[in-house]
Amino acid sequence: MSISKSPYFLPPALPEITRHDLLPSGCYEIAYLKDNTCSTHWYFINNNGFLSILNVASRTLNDGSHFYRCSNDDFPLEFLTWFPEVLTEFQKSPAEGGLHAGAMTTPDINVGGEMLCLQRAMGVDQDRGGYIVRNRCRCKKGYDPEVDFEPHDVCWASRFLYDGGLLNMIKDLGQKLVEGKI
Amino acid sequence: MVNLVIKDIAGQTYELTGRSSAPRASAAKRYSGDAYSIFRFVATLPLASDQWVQILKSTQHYLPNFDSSNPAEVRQAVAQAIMRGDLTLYQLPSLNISHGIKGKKGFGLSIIKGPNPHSATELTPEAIRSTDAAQQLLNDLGISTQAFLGYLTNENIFNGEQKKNPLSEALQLLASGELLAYKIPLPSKTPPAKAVEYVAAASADKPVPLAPESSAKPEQPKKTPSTLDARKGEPPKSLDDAEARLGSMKQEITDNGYKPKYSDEELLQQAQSGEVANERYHVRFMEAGHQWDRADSVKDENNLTGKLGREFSGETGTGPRYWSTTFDQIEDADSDPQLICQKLGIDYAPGTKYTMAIIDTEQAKPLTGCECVAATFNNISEFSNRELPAEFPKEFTDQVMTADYQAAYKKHYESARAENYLDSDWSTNKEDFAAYLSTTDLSEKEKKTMIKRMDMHRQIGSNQHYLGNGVTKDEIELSPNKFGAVETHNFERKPANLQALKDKGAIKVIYL
Repeated sequence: MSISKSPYFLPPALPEITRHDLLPSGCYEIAYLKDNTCSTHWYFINNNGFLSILNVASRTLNDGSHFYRCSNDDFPLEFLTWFPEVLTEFQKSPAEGGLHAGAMTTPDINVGGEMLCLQRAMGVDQDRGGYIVRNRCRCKKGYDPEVDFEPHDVCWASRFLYDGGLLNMIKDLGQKLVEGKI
Repeated sequence: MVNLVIKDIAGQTYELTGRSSAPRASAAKRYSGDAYSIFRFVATLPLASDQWVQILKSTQHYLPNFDSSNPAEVRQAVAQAIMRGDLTLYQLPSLNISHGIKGKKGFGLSIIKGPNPHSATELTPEAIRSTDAAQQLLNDLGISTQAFLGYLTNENIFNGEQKKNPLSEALQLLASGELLAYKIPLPSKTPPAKAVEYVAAASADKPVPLAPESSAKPEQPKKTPSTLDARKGEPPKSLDDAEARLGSMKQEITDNGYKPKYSDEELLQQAQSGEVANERYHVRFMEAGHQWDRADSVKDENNLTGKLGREFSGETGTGPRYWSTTFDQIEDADSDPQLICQKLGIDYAPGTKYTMAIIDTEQAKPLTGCECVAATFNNISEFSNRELPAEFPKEFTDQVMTADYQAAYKKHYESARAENYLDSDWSTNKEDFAAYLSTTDLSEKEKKTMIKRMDMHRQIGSNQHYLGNGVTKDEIELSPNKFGAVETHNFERKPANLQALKDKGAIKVIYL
């Protein structure tokens, strides 16, 4: 595969979170929601003034062993106010002034000093669809930003967003952020 | 209310009566069903909306408000009238040799319940005054006792099994007029008798001006020449024309049997070229339930609060998938849901109601923001390179959009699922997949490529079952083809709302 270098300057990495119940210093949970479309648990963490979104699996494998995994993807806290607005804009059709037909991503947008984009995910939740947010200013653990940069991202099914209460939860958190309560 | 005889496109006759009228024929069997099946059935009868409106008015019963210029609303009003009992439909037995018993001298017998004769034929029942006359008729036609009694049993009009002298009793029914026998000319020597079309059952009844009576000449069983070649690559002129062409395809199949419009070679060429996706009229096929929003309690055919989606299982996966093709590809399957399912290689659920949405993409594209792509490795790759160049550049898709890599992805996906690292058959959780890959002997580079392949799965929809040849598997028993149709994938930023598209004249929804 070709070399893929980080497109932007990367800020210092945040403290890594390896367990949702053992948060590092400067971290505290601001919200939790169980995914209604799969077995994933989602934790929203204030990580030293940034937002870490934990994607946690905890189940028994078929060999009887317990499988626990906690992955964190990091964003600026402004994600919470930006996401509901950009989602509405992104969904607009060309006739409504939206992106061209077939467009799958927004341009990279400066949110709280980091470059984020919102993308369509056609294959999630049995092809019912969903959305991805990528942060092109944060590189995944195990990847080299100079050689094989891989952005932090979260992917949520539309059913989780709309029926599972996630979008409303993010809106509430965004309101709290504006009010200085986070 | 007049009694009307109606013949459908397949030649089956029905008698329609009002609340206070009995059917003219003793052999008439009442047609019944739920509101939806009656609605669908009414739609198959060759009466125009204004004719139905005349009939509804002639019932002189309460009529709900409906738009008499809207065929769906008119049919719905007719179905409601039938459900209420203001109108009743009766199926009449077919007077032809396929429902009769063959005899000698170029004739057979068709026997129905009496005493009132069949109301939709010019044939008259044989005048039988005695059991001897009945026996003489059987002798003249060379019909054996065994064949005669067996036929009556099969037609469910007389069961001689528990009778002491079944032949005597059956002959007595003919002599008394409780059974009526019609001599039917065998088709090889004499053309069948003309059937009445849309005429009043009795001259004493008030006539309703429906279709003109057909000529008195005997009807020849004509086969129309195949129109399949003329339809190839010839787009419909409008959504209405598309619907009409589907309707006329039924006659084409009746006359000439099912034949695929395109050969396997042609389908593969079309899939590879990707030009199919640029055709103006597309089709989405889905279970009818998708036309309503989950929260919508009004499950009415005219209510289109749902989205263009569907749940199917087939060779390329199970669960809800976004499936579509073009009108040109699906036209040869008529509007028969079973045939369409078989042509698409997806499971057909008997008893399930299906809907077909014909989409005028010129109208719909600005409203939906939908891009349509033929589902081949090349076309999906090109789309991904163009729309998501940072995620899926050409170097990456060249590597993974091949049959060999697809087989490897499928193998690892299924292993991850079998060990429960993936929590379902449709999981696209990259982190769970990475945890599984860490247990394999793949190199770090191979693992990263495999994880990126799952990223493409969740974003583009090309899952572990994806075949990449762009065609569906043809499961029509009589088809010479291996492939059914060129499959297209649709990419849109949110599911399109059916009602909004209908309001803008961008789709035509057909209930199958």
